[in-house]
Amino acid sequence: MKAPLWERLTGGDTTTRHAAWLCLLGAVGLSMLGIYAIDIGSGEPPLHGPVTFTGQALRQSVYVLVGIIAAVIVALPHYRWVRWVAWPAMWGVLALLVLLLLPFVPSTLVTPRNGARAWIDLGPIEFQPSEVAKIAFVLVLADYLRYRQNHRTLTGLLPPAIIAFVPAALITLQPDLGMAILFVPAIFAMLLCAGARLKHLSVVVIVAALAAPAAYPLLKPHQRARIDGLIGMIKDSRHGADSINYQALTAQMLSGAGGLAGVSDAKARALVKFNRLPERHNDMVLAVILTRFGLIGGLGVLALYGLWFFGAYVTAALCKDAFGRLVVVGFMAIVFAQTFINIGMVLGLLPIIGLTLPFVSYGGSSMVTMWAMTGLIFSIAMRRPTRLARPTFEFDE
Amino acid sequence: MRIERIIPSMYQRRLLLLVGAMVLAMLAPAAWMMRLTIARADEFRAEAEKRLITQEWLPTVRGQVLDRKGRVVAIDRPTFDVAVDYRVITGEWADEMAAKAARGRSPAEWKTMSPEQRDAAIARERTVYDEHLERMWSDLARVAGITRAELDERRALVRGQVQLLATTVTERQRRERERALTRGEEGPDDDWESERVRTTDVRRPIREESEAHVLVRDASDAVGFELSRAQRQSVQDPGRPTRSMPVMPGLKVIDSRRREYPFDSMDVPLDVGLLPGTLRREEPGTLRSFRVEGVATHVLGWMRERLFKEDIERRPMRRSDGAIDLGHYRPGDSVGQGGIEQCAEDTLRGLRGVRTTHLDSGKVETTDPVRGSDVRLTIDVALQARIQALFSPQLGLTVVQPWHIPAVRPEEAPGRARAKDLPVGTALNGAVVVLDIHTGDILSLVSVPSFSHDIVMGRGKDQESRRSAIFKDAYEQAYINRPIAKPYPPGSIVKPVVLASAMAAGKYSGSERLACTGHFYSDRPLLYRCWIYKQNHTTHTDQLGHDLDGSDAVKVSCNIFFFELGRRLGPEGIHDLFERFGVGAGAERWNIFGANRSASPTPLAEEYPGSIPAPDKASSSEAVLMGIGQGPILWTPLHAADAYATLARAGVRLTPRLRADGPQHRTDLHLPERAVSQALDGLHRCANEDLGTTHTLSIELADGSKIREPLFTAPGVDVWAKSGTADAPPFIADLDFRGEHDSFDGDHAWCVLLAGHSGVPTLAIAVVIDHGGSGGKVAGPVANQVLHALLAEGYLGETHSGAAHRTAPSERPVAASNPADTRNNTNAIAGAGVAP
Repeated sequence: MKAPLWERLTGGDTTTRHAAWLCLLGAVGLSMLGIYAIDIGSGEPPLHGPVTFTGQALRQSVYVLVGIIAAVIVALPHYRWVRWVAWPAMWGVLALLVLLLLPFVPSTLVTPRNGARAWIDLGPIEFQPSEVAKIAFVLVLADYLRYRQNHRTLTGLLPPAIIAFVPAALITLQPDLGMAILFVPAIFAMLLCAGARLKHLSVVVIVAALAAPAAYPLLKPHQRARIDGLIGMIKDSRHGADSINYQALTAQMLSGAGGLAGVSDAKARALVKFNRLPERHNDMVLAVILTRFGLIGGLGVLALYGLWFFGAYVTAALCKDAFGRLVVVGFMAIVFAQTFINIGMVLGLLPIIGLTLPFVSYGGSSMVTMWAMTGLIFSIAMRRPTRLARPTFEFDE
Repeated sequence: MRIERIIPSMYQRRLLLLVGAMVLAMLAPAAWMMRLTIARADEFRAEAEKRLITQEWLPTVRGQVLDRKGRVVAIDRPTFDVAVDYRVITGEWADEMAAKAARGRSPAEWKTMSPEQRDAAIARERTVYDEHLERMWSDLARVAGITRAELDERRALVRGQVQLLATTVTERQRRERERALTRGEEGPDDDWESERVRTTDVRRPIREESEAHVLVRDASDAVGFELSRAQRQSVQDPGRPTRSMPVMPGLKVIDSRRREYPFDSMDVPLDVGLLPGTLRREEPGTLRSFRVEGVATHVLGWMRERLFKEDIERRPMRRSDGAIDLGHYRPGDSVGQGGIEQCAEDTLRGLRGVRTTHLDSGKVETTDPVRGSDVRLTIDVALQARIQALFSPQLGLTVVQPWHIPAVRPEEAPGRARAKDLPVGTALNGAVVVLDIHTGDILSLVSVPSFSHDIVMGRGKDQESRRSAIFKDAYEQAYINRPIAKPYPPGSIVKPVVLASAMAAGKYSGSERLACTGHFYSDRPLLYRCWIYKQNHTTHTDQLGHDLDGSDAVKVSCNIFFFELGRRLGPEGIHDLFERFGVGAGAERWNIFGANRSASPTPLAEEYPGSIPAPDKASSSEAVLMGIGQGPILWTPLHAADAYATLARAGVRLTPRLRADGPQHRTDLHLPERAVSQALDGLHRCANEDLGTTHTLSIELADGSKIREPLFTAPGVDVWAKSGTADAPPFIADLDFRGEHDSFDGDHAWCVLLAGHSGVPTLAIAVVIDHGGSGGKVAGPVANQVLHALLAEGYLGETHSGAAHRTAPSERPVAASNPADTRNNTNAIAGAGVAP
């Protein structure tokens, strides 16, 4: 007897006992915290305006809702369907990335924001193709690597590098260096778990590290200024306090001002507003959380990410399907890199490169992308095969 | 490998490696987060909370200055100040408005513009806002009654002051930052330090860059009300037609205060029937009113609106302990300049208040301003005005008269060319000091020429040129406070002081009689001569019929006698004598405006300590010359009055003081009683006996006849006096303003006296007329009129006793020339004055 259509469409291995619930829990916690932090960052202190849910917090709530819906949508079909659409999706995304760079595209469609051509204006909503590119890239690379062995050779690393390079290069040209950087940890993590030789990866890392200073002159002036600013800040904690490091130093100050347990809601709103922290609802939202909830809040954020990563890790570990494994690993690497860089930026450890804090920062495209990743991890966890279809990623060291 | 045995799957091992790396990587930000939120929490909290506080400074009221009779001579009065936001002053407002307009024209297009395109769009919009500001400045100048150029100058001044302050603050922060960075490091090197922290690293906008600054001070009620109306008016914003903008953006009309000097200008009634000789054209008792401008300006000082770097550094907002000094200086503050306004700056200034608003809680804390303390002076402003009026050219006392110029010139020493005499009619300048012998109080400290406060504090273009004339005219030297700041050779007025000191030093017995030989060195008849020999080719010995003792020598002012005392004292004795009387940099000094120099925040640099050469720097012939007050010795009229008062106190020096609360320092010079009595006897005989040099005023008329009359005519007043004609080098001046400078001769005319009644001196008076010539002919009549002025103001009569501090009501009181100025002084100036 044939299985019911529903089971045939969704895979039939559906189970409610899997670790992706932890991802869901972490994502929901982070999203809720994000909405509250955005409300603090974009609102008025109680004395200076009515205490209402701000427009940005309200919009972020909608984005979270849309994100959850997107997660459900991608989680419903079996993830093998997703693999089939990976390459077409990649080509589509590349086309959009090229479209963004075409000079004759009307500004009503592609509106530069902060100097970057990263957004497509679709009237009521704006859409950032590079966010989708992250997912498409992970899917395509997972599909490419799943039953291969040639990535165990040095030349075999070239095709995966090209797969990463094309979208990353297009994104760099927007320019959105922060987003492009995320492709690097993703490809490394996926190659690592796919069994690439450690010595090859080490060589690449060493060569890249040695070549990095040579890339400095190629950077745009504002990018160089940020790196210089960070170096100056390491030498002197007040370096560029009113210029290049204003944002970083203000974020650090507010983060520290929260102390161990943070300050009251009203005080946090006042501190954030009157200290004029730039991008306080967006890239710098962690500083708002630290102001409000202090170190406890900061560790809470890390704990929620810990939940998400633990859920993803268990899902990847238990998954017997090569494609599923690499997809989860790729998503983990992207979310981790983005989180790590953002926290480093806010705390003054890394230069500011305009990366949002996953699930927390304001923004529809980012939110929907993160939730879509969570949905896919959920889908993989729900439908993990109980045994390997064929041996994969098992080589001699 | 063990790990492969534990985890056989390569994939699982790699996955674990990945997750392990992630966990390890996350430890760094977690640890840093802990550092920020625990180790540096307090520092960051304090820094963040600074922005939750706004502070508004509340103005204070400067203390009043009162004269010895309680008349208010300097006071703050309510007025309006007109201030404009700094961003409007600099034109940044136009930039901001233009940017808003450019963005508002097409928000979508704005997003796509490059920075250059945006700048171009802003520049296009800016024109209308620039024009709006131009109209505003013109309207403001018109309403405020000043020229547009003047207003622009003030805007530039505000910009300069704010930039100066910003530079000072930034530099201080940069240095603090450097100190913090180099703490614990060895050998701070200046060059290295300066590279370590750059100004741009610490530069933050200062509060003054977002505040309004005063451009028009002391606006009248009409101006204040009109601008208050304008402050509320708005017009359509040309760049954003749906919005409006202020007609006068950033304008603030502020209730303020203005420093006023109610007795600055006074009408003084003088009895012209008391004038001497040819100057007397009316019967005694005939009163004429004389307008005096700038009464006691040198004593009071004035307010300077320009803030100097030194002011900010002397009293910065944050003291060294980090606390805020509410008396600190801010742009727009006035600072006392000169006189008591400068010396008592910290006493008078008061402390501003501060209103602190906590933005997070809405809590408002207010520290009320503390009014400046009042300062009471020892001068009598009415007496001051009377004495100042004696210098009115219309009166003629201090104008070169034909009889001032000797008909016959004595033969000059070889090699000395004679300069021109001052032309008849030239107005003479000078100084008068009246000192209360018993208290050391300075009752009057007159410096002529003076100048009105309107000139130094006024803002009109004309005022500017007059102000500049005060400080640039080399002949008038109006800015010099002559009684305390101008060095004069003493001349013969030192003779009683030399006599008493020589007796104290055992160089003269008091009974010894010395012959006047006409010239001191028998073989050099043209040098070191007695004045009587120089003028009449005779000697005092011949004139008196006997040799002279000390009293005789003072009475007739015999040079030969005092040359001899100078020789006997020698350079050391002369130096010692003058230093004991307070002359020279090494002498015990005072600051008449305050307790002492160090206690006064800004001691007047102008106070001249006098000059006497060190014993090893003076020759014995110079010591001879200094015996008659000539040679390398210089002092001020205050020194002269103080020295005579010391003689009157039998050798006790008492610090002269101008502040009623100034401390008194007594120093006993241990002069023998006989020495003092012989000096005073000589002074008394000088003023009261025939042949005394200050007994008779002899006026030679054009027809050769002479008028002889007593020099001192104040009824019931006992006088001990000495005149002096102090040899002064010729001076160069363009007196008739023809652009040609001539060299003029003119000795300084001195007359110093003690005055009292019933045989007891109560006041010491020093009069000097710059380049006036004969002390007896020029300074003497002025000194006599000072005695009349003292009588008119209730001094020197039976009712006045300096020791008791009693002050009798004026017989013929003077009146402030501005009726409004008497508002606060109706008690002080009771009775009828002459109408302004």
